[in-house]
Amino acid sequence: MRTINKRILLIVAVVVIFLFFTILLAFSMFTNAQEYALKSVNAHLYESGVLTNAGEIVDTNGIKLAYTQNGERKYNDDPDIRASFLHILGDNKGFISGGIQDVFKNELSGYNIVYGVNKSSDNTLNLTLDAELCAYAYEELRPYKGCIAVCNYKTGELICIASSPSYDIYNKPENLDSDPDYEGVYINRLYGGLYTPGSIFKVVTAMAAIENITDIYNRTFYCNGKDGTIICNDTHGEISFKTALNQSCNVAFAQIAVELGADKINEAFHSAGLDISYTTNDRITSKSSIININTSDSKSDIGWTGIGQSTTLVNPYSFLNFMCAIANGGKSYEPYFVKSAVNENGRKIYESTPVDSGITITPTTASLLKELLRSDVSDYYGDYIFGDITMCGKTGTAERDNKLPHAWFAGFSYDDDFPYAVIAILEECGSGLKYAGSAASSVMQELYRKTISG
Amino acid sequence: METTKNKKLYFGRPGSMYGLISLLIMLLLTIYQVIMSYCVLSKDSENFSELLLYFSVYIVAEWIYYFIFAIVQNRHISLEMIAFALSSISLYVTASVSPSKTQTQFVAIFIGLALYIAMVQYMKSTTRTSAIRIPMAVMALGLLAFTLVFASYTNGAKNWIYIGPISIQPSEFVKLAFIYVGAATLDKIQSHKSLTAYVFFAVGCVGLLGLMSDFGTALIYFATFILIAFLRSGDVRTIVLVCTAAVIGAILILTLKSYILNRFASYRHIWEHMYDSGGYQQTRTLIYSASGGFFGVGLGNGHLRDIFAATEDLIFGLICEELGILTGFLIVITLILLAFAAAYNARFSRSSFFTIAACAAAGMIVVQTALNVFGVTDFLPLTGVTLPFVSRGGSSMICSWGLLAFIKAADSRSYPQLAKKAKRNRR
Repeated sequence: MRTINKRILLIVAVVVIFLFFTILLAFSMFTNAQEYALKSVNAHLYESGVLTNAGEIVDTNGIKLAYTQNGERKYNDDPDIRASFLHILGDNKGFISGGIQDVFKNELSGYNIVYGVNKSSDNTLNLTLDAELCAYAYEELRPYKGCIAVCNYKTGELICIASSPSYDIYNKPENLDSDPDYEGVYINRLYGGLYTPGSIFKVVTAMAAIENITDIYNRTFYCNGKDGTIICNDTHGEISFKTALNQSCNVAFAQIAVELGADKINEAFHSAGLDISYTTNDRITSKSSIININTSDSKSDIGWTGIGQSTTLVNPYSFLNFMCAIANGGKSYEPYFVKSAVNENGRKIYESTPVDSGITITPTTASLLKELLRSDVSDYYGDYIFGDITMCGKTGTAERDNKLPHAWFAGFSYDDDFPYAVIAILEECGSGLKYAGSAASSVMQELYRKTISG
Repeated sequence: METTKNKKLYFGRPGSMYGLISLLIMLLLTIYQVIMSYCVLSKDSENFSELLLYFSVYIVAEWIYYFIFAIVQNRHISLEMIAFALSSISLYVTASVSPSKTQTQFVAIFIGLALYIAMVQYMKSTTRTSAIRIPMAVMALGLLAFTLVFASYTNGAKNWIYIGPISIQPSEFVKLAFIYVGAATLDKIQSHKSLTAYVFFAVGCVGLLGLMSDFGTALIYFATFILIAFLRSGDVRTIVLVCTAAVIGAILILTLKSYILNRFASYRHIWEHMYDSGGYQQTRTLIYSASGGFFGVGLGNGHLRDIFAATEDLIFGLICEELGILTGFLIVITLILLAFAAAYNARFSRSSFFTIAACAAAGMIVVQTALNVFGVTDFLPLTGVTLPFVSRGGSSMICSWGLLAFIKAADSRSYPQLAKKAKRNRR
């Protein structure tokens, strides 16, 4: 009768298999617990879609931008700071995607499987941004739509981002979706914007010219105010390459573009890193700029592209990155703003490491472009505009059919001790220098004052 | 002779090592239950006196059982202590989540306990066991057929009978008959012929369950059938043949009635079905289990309790969330150990009936635990079966105690008088 005892081994085998899967389940739960717990439907951690059991987010000076008090997510007391950080932090309804409260939820929540959701998070997320400067830039933008961003071109650290329109998260306007003043309010225009570049594109054309036309500095162009379909902003007469860039001569640059041809311009566009969609350290994805010309296009189309007035669209983030590369000898780090996350013991649980943006401009080209952009300011716009800062840059006035033009300014400080690059775009307002140039200037000067005063 | 040596070790009197350990376990269990009672009562002033009564009676009943069976009758009661512990968790969870259903759960535990005592007593005699197997088989098939005809669909399966205010799940009770009939063959153990009749009985049961669309239970029956068939015949070829036939049958049914497959379409894709019925329960189980951490958010503080079937199918997640992942896994490990103990003790049982019945009951508990725990965590498709002893539900609770009786009866230490008599006779 005891032959049956051997057969009992089957039930033992069943139990062992079950035990094995139980261990597998424990392992799976252990490794995935954080991902599971941080799903936004988890009522322990979220209140109507916003992570409430989350740590503080502070700016570069330790100003609290967001924190949790009594189970409720709170924001900075200053309404301007709240508005200027709306896109960075994200709203509490999930309309604004890519807010760092969402993408850095793992670091903010401080969840671990031992304590589960029982422990309130004492983690702190440190940003490189200066909250006061962001609010200042936001004020400079208003009432226009657009964005301003300032970045340390040596490190890639963003110190200022402002995108307009925005709103105070504590007083969300009712008419957001219907009011044209709030069109595109959910988008951070630095990353999500795409605009006709206008004359700032001449920096790309100039770069192609430096690299491909050996005697470009000895050449002269003739502008009688018009060339085929191209209309210039002035009648410049006989004009050199450098002066043509300084004075933004459309005729000269259209001629240069035609001489270069579509391939060389596309090549320059690519080496400027403009055709890249960056997924930054901050886990935000920028839109890639768009250029759409080829060798079979007409001279007039290539000419228009060369002066930034064709179907080309530029993303502000990628152009800021391009400016950083010019300022920094041809290489740049992808601009980012989340510096680190530390837990309650001060131990770093996240630290951002600068990522090479992949831009490859030769140091010679970079330095020539730097001098050209310096002369734009010193020889044409006037150094007085930028106060004590030795500035380089290029303005753009992107003309649009039957609408006011977009105003652009892209530039950087010449001084290595104040290594900041700036991009400013103000939609539908007017001249690049008058609107974007002055906005960029006052933000840079404000930053300069703060840096000098310490 | 080795076995008698073992027995000596276990038949300790209070004061011997085993007696001390069992007393210690009873004390620890009581402390745990007092704390759990306090946790529930501190949050429910409305039903305070009613719940206090249930909890107190429960603890007192445990001590009475301990006194009668361990002290007076000098029996080994570790299986019952496990069952008492697990059942009390179901009582506290039910009281905390749906206080109005505590009474039913409380009563079911005691019916289960009574059935357990009765079954253990009945199986004291080895000759009685085979006598009622034919009427048992007829009754089992009849009950399932009755359910199929008279039950109405509840949550997609036709397995509930309503008699006035009482609702019964007959397939739970039939589980006991299924094992009983399968085990009660006595001396024809090696014969293939005797297996044929049982195959027909098993096919009848599984088929009826399939018609009720209760696929989880059908699977439990089928797995138990395989176990019994192997224990009886020891024939691997027969088992492989039966399994192949079953797989072919299942494929055939699924091709003919493809809508059945849709019920399991979200398996391994639950996060894509987070907001629909395909993955809602599983994703919430995982999310809230993870939320509990090792020690839980505390009874009454969870969110999984608001989800449908939280105290039944999702009980593992609810316990992980509120009482902690450690408690959740401890329960699963306990059920596994129960099965191990059954297999171990079955070696020394008095006859093959007890060996087969204990192993089949243990297998049933393991398979059901697997379908429950792995179902809600998406390791297996969600079939909606209960966790033995722990899920809320009267029929399931009573059946769990019944299964335990099979395991107990196989352990020769359960009948000290018989063992002593045998010893005397041998001398």
